[in-house]
Amino acid sequence: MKKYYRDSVLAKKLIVGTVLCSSIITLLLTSFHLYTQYARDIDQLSQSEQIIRNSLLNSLSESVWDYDNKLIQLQLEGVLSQPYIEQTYLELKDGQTFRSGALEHDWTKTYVFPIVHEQKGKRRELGTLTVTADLHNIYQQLINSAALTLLFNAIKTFGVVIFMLFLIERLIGRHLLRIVSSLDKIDPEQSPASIELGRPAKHLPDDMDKLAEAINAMQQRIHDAHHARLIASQEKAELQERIINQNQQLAQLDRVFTMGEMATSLAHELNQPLASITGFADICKRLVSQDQINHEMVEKTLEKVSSEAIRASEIIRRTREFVRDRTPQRGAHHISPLVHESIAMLQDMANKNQVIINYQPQEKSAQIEVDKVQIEQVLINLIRNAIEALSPQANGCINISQEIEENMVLLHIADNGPGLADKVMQNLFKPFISTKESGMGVGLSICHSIIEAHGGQITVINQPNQGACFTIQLPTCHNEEISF
Amino acid sequence: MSQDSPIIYIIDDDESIREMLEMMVASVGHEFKSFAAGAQFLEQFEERHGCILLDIRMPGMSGMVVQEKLNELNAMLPIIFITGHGDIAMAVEAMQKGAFDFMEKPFREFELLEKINKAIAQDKEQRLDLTKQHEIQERIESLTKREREIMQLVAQGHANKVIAIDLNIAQGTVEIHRSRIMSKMKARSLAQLMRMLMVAGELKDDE
Repeated sequence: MKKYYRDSVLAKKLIVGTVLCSSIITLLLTSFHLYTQYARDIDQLSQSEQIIRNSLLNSLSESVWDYDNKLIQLQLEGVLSQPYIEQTYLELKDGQTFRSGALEHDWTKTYVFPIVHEQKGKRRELGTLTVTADLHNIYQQLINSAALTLLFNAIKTFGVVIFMLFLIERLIGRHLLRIVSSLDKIDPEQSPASIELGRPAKHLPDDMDKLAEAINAMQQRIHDAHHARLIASQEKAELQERIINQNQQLAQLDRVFTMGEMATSLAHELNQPLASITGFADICKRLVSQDQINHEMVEKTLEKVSSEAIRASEIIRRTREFVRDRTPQRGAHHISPLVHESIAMLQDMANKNQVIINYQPQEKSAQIEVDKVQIEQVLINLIRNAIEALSPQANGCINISQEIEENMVLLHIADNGPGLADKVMQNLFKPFISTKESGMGVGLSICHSIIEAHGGQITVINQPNQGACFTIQLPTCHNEEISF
Repeated sequence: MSQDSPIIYIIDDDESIREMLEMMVASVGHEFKSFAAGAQFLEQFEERHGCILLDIRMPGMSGMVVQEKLNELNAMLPIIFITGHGDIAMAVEAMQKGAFDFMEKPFREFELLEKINKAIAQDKEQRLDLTKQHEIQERIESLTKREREIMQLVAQGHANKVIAIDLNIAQGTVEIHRSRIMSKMKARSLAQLMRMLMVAGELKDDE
């Protein structure tokens, strides 16, 4: 309890406030009280003056007129009997003076009355009477009264403050301390510990009980909300992971589907090295069967057989890599080999549709941190779309160019086809919307999500009569920037 | 080499296939010229005895387009198309447009050489027929209008008597015309005359 008073700012404020307020009120009331007392005294004084002026003065002037010195002295002493009048002094015109009483203090008030004798309408001034009132008693009384009032009030205030402090500590302070210490211990992860005020079971519930109840209820609500948010965020993370997984699966499906679409092209492409292997093997066989074996030629044809077999296996590797179920793996790649490989996979399709693909890689090359297969998937999707758009027309041409801008690689894939209709443009990157009879309609949507996942952007400009131009923006590797 | 020896034109975008074809053709001593693209070939080829090995699928100008352009130019060179597995439909279309033959990849050396030989032989015959055609055309032009008229009727298989009635002339006159026709056309028999007319493409004409 002692500690409470020492530490509690509330208690200190209360003391200061109570003392200040009580002091001001006491001072005001005391001053009012003193003023009324003073006014009464002053009034009494002026009554004395009136009495002197109206009754005593006339008899005194008669005495003076009669030269009755004894009576004069008596009358002067009579004046002294008036309250607060301490000294009288009579000075006559003939130089005679009378004095009565003596002054003990400095605080005085002096009244001067002329002694006038009126006879048969003739006024004669006989002298002046000076009466001095002593105010010391008045003030002394006022001071005593003030001191007494203040003393009583101080004692009363002290008592009230002590009692109030006691009440506040009992009714509020100790409960507040308990609430504060319980609130300090709150951990949102733990289930909430409710605040107990430790009061006897049988008592009339007051504001503090309401406060404790409200805090307990709030704690419970906060805990519940926190718990719900925790669960929601966990669910969100799980959902996100599921979406990523599904996106990967969808991308994988798209690759398999694309490869399925390109199966005839693939067969044709693979047939090329097989055909040349067959041919070179035949040539070699004939060369060996000749009488004069041309070793140089034999070696050359065998070399061709090997290199063509490797070419075939490279096509198979590329295809397997493209359709294999895999988790994305990012690495630093130069952009041009990716473009070349993508074009290679589509070259046969382009040939079949009489479409020329031009690609001029820049000398200045930058590396990008990407998943190779995913980026190739994007390129293949875009180039394939372009080939399909160009297939009904002659002189179809796809121009692929690249730019390096600060820390971005820009790859433009432009065709000279009919361009994209406005309606198509609106839903271009949305999934399951396709303009083709075959196809899942996920191609461009997958391209979009792949490029976004790589921190890049895919945009399209449509120039009617000039064809569509897709632009892929990808950030360059950071380590590559330093080496530039 | 002389103009009479055949030339083999090789058009294929695939460098390895092209090299392989070159080696196969060179092995039997044929003269050859190879091109990576159809447009290049159309600029540089000469209309002479030989044949064309043409890849059906090429970037830019496909084999089919090259064939069309050659047809427009009335080129006689027989075309052997080099096709892939799934190109049968295209090959059939090419054949309908007058291609000599097609080779499906992969193929054996002897198969190709056989087809080249056949193509060259056909081309040679065609070119020979062409010279014959010129000669026959000249002989036909030496005939009078009446003689040409009678020749047409003879070729249609009408007897002398019918011809005489049709043209309202004596049967003897028809016989004289006929013997003149035979001597001018240097034909020893009616059958030979018919063949000549067939070669010259006169048979269908109905004057």
